[in-house]
Amino acid sequence: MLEWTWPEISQATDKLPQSFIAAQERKARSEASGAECPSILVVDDEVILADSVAEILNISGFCAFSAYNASTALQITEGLRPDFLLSDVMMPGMNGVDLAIRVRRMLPETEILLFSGQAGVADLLEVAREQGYAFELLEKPMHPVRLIERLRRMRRA
Amino acid sequence: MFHAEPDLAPDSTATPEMPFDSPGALLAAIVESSDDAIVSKDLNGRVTSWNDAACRIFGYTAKEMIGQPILRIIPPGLEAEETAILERIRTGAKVEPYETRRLRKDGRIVEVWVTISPVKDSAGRIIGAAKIARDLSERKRMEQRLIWSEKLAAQGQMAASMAHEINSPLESIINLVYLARRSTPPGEKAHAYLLSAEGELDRVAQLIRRVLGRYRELAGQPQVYLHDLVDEFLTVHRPKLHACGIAVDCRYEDRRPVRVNGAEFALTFSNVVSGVLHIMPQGGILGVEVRERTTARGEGIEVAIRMRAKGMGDNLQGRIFESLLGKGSQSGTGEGLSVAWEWPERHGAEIAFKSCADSDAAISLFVPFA
Repeated sequence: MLEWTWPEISQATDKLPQSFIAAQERKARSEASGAECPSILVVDDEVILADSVAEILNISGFCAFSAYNASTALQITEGLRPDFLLSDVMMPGMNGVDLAIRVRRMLPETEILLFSGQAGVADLLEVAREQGYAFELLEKPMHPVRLIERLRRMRRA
Repeated sequence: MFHAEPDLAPDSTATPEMPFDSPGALLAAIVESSDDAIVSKDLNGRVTSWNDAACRIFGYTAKEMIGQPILRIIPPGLEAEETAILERIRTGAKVEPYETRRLRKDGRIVEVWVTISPVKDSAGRIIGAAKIARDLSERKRMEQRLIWSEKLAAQGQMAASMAHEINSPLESIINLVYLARRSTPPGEKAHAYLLSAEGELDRVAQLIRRVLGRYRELAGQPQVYLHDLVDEFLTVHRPKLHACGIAVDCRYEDRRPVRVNGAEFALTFSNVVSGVLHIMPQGGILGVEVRERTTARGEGIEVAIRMRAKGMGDNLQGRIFESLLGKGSQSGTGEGLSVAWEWPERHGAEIAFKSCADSDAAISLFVPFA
């Protein structure tokens, strides 16, 4: 009889993305060389989306990392202390707004942007606002050029 | 039996409360003023009386019908119904009210609700039947309209939820195409293809944003010039219309803005235009005129869309209507069509179809100033 063990689901979803180590090394290199390379953590449960945004930002002068759920994102944030957090809102488990509130408490300096293509997000943002946390919401889909412009403007401001 | 003409001659001895000299005359007057067709026939099925409403509903005058077989208004295939009715009446039984169809003088079918009862003479013998027919056309039209609007609303909700689901994969595709273009040398053909793909994806993104615009609608609508919205739409879509062999002729004569949700108006307009594309496969002329007008709804701006299709037979009007409602055709994209109906209703605006010559069709979008 063939024996088969299902892998633990948490192993698959909580694993740090491949890009993480590379991005961490790049950030360290840029810091050592003195060149400015703002770090950004991109969080989305859609793997292709998170990775493609991170890759675009990496070729556009950022040090970008991706995470596919909020709890992994929290772990990365603690270690990385990114300049930016760009997170999807509707995700399984902890949603993007709750993640944003935790990151704001932990790292008040980190600029936070939420992005979503779903309905029902306005209610979550309103709840956060009542607790004293206001976040900017970007609409999906957003052309990469517009996203990069937005991040650079925030960096200068 | 009913008299065809009511006796309205004033009687000098009658009190004002009783203007008729007999109960029979009063009854005849009631029959004549009824909205329902009230007709009688003998046991051979020949018409013996015919009121004004019967003239309106069936198109025949009393003169044309009295003495003629009632079969004239029975549509082909339903003749057996009449035989069965007469048999039942002869036995003295009443025919339970039922819904059926009758044939008008002009050949059109009219949906009616009929009640048939036996008519007896003073000796109690059955001498014929009285039939009361109510015209159901208006009710049927309302029912049809309700079914359509419910269908469209359901399609609209489905399209909106699909749009939400599409946003994430669409963002991924936009990103991947952007990455692919960035990795391709600018001189290469692939680079140009990817650039075009990015432009097309941007259009898809715009469309979805418009679809969802209804649900994310901000409070308060700005004042806009409708010709700006029309022009913005045509600027993007003129190349496509051109490729389909459709020439666009625009006239903008509106000098006052209206309060309207731009995204919703654009979507309604865009759906009307895509409906046009589907019924003009061989090309033609699309005329768009934006002008001030006064209608029953007051003063406002009308966007009149006229079409002249090449190589089309008649009933362009019927086809455009079906195309816009997604009825019996593949062209209907529910969301916009639902907007096309809901939007005017919610804004006191109006969408109307006008009858024209066979190869022409016209649609009017009217937005009042108030």
